[in-house]
Amino acid sequence: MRKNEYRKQSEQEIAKQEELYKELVEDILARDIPIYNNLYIFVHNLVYGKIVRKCNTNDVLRGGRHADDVMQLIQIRIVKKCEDRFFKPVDGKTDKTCLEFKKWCHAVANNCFRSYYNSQIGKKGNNGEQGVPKEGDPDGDRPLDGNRDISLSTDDNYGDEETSATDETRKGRPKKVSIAEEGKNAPSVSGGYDKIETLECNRSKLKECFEVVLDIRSGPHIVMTWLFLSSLIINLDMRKKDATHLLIKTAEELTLREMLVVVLRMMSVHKLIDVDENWKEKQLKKLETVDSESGKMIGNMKYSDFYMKKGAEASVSDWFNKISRQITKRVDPDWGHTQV
Amino acid sequence: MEHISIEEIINYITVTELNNETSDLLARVNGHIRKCSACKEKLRAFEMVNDAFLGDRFEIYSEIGNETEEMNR
Repeated sequence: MRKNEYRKQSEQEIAKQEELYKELVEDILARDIPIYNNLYIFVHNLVYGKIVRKCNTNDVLRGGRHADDVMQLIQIRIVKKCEDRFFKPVDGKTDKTCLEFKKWCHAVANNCFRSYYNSQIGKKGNNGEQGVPKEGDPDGDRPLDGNRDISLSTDDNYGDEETSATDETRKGRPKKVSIAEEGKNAPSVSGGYDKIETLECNRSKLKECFEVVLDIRSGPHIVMTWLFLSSLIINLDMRKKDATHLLIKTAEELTLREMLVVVLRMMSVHKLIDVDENWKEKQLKKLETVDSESGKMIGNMKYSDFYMKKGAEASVSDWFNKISRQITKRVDPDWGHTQV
Repeated sequence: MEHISIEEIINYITVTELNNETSDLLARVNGHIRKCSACKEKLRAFEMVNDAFLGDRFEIYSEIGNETEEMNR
């Protein structure tokens, strides 16, 4: 009898949720600038209790406002991704069901909880051994810092919560090699070849390449192109062509000064080389110089202002190859050519 | 149609707190990228770099601010 009552109640709850889901979808799809109020309420009612329980049973997150902080992350992630994942309208309606949406919300909630948990371990200086979701556990997660295995996307795969996007994106591609592993095969960044990432070299060789580049006296846009592209190839295990595309999409609207900051951040992630203050100062000085054609300070010019007539892709490729040729000459005249 | 700016893209990517301002930003950017595939692609590219390299610590604008201050000294 009790079981039946519970079942009846649950069905009512489901019906109510479906009604709310319908309303929130209408709110989102009906306007040019969507309203997410009902979405926030829906998500809160759906996962907040679970997050509170998870926090209260976790040694690191017990007490404080952790559950509320995680909830904010969940709401933000859901708002950012929901339109692509769930609310693409077909004839003004979504074809995704309330159940599918709820499963996805739970997956997002779990992933956000893990990310938040890991960030808190770092803050507290916790070594992560107490009450910690370990790798392989349902609550495990990738580390956030250092030589982490970098994922291409943070999409939440509902229905398969433990499948990382990295695994998906790497299907049929060479296995990523961590550059942190001294002596192991790592993607090469010398030479301007399409299959560049299949060349083999070790960490010290890569380090040598970067040292040469930091010493090269080409225009800042050329040097930064090489550093940006190489960092993408190394850290993301990308093909040069894809990395070029991503560089163009990401950087063409940035000023060179903004690009320098991004490049420095990228290099601090792969840690192949410590960029000293002297080099930074030199670059900043270069960026302060005035371009003779436009009369603008170079640092304030957009990356795309430097494109040659032949277009973005060809320009980027030319700049990359120009630096790579200099590396080849200076590091090892035979290296690169023999392996292509 | 006015495109979303780089500043808006970066603010969108780095939202970590929900308030009226950030909620408006999320809605405005989401509304825009529904119709504008160019801005959508640009946003996704930035998100990809952010996810890959900088994680939760992508505070590019504050850093650029610092660099600019250093340059102006």
